[in-house]
Amino acid sequence: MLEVKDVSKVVDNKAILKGINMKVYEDAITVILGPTGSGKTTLLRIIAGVEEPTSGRIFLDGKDITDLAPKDRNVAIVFQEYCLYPHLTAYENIASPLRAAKIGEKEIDERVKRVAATLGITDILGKLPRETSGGQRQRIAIARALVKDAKVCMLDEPLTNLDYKIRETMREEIREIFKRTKGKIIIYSTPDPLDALLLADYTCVMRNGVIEQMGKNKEVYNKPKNLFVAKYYSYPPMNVIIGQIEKLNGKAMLKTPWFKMSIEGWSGPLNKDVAVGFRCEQLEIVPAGSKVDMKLPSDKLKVATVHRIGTEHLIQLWTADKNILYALTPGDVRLEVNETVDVLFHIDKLWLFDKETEEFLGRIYEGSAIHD
Amino acid sequence: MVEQPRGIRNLFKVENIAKALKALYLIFYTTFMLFPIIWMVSGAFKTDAEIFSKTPTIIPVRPTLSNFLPPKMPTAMWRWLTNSLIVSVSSASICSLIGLFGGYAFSRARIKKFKVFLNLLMIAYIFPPAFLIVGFTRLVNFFGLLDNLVGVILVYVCLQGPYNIYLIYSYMAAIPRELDDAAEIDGWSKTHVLFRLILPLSLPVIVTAFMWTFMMTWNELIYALVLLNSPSNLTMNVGLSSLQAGDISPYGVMFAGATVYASIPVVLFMFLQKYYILGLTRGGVRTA
Repeated sequence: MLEVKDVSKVVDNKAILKGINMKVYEDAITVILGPTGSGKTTLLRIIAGVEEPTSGRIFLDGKDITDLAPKDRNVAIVFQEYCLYPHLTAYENIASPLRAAKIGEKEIDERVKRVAATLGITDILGKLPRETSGGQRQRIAIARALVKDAKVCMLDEPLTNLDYKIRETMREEIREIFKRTKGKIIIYSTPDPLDALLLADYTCVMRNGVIEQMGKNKEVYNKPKNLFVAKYYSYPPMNVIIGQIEKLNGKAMLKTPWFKMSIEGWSGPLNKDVAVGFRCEQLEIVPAGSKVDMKLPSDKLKVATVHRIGTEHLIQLWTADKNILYALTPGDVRLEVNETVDVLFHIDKLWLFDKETEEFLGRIYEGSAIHD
Repeated sequence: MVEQPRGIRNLFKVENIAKALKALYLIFYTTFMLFPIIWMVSGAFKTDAEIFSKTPTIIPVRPTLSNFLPPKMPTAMWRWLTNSLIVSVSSASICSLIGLFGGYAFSRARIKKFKVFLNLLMIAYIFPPAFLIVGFTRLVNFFGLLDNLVGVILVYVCLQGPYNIYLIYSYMAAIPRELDDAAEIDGWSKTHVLFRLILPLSLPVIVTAFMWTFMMTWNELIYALVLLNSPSNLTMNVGLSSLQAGDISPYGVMFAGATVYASIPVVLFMFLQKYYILGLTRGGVRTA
């Protein structure tokens, strides 16, 4: 287990990390998710030993490694920019950590070729990095990290510099490669929630140098601690509308511009403005000419943008108060910008947050409150 | 009206006239700049009579090598050439080494205020070198190194060292810091990172710094003139200027000496020009 205890980092009077506490377990992929500037890379660099924390300690399997040099920490890292040595061939790049450890030439050759075969880069071992493609360089960088057989393997936004198609392929490959390794602590940092959704066993969401929430992937996704985690750890982003929780006839009543619902078993605050979250798949665009299901809340909204993502379209819709809501449609449905469409709100699952503090208040599942 | 052939029409087009004028200017300018060198090389292979002939010639009528050989060429001239090589190669080597370590340190300094010292280095160049000659002479004398090549080398290192640091620092600053981090995580020591990673990547600028310092010290006259006295300790340019005495100077011998003297940097540049151009134009390395 890797444990980070009260780690802070201050640079030029600016706090980059503030009291980070986390435990990372082996045989699992832990994804650190956060926007640019949240401190993910700084945290990884402190764990690797190439930066010193202003305060706090790092423990690996119970041993304090905070004051150890990078080479003594048993860590490997794949940098965002790959950081391959430009004057060395792919073979020499991968062999670098083994040469530093003064391992015999025969063993170096065996291990390099084995890792290269795993990653499908045997045929480019003799090439310089500038003679290879972005995806190949990424694999060489991963091979260099894997060949070291370090206890902790960290990947710092490894897919950011790749184009969309290669990113999808590499994501799958990374999952397969690291699922096969045993006894390793894998930490993957990314600003892309899709990486976390598809790769993570554990997710750690960071913002402004602070861990907002950390836990098992599904738990963080289904039970976000605050509005930021709910909106950020969602692909596409979670829809959020403003409503009020009132007491009516002894019952809690949720009121929004589109629907009212009574909530069974609500023990949260009353007479409060709340932010109501629901997933984009819960907003259904009714095809033109189809009958609208009158049992569900509905409205006519104007299309703001249409983006193709894979085999679907992500539609952004304007609300009357100029908010944006997200919906997905199949790839064969064609919508135009400024077109007005009928939308249905599938309100079986809702997440409620305090509008002021953005703290999580509870979930509503088919009209009943769930306070976790 | 008879139509002009197309070739003659093209001749009078504005852009073609402009091109012709540009070419004429370049030919004139090149001739003007190169002529003294051509005259020098030509004179090295002429007899004194032909040099002073009323009919000047570029190509010697009776070419001769006598200006390069004894008794016309003083034997001390080869000693002077050797001294110049010792001084320039030593100065350039030491300055390149200082630039390597200093440039690396500044480029990797985490403390931003440390870089104030980098700017302070360049303050030394506010003063023309001749302005500092008295101070340097007293310093060299204090260490008992007057009339000694070591004294001249040390002065040249003081004069050129800061520029080398700045030049190499500018190049190394563009080499990503993450490369060093990657090497340290791989398990390499800081010394290995400098010599096996940064140095090969910085070869163009190291060569540039070497060549720049070599050229500056090769051509330097004032300090060599003041700090060196004995005939056996003179550098080539001081020695050549000492041949000029009285009404008649041995122009043929001076031309020959100057030709040999000028050819050495040319040969050096021919071998190292690839790295020199890379060092001046490339702002670091684009990593993979």
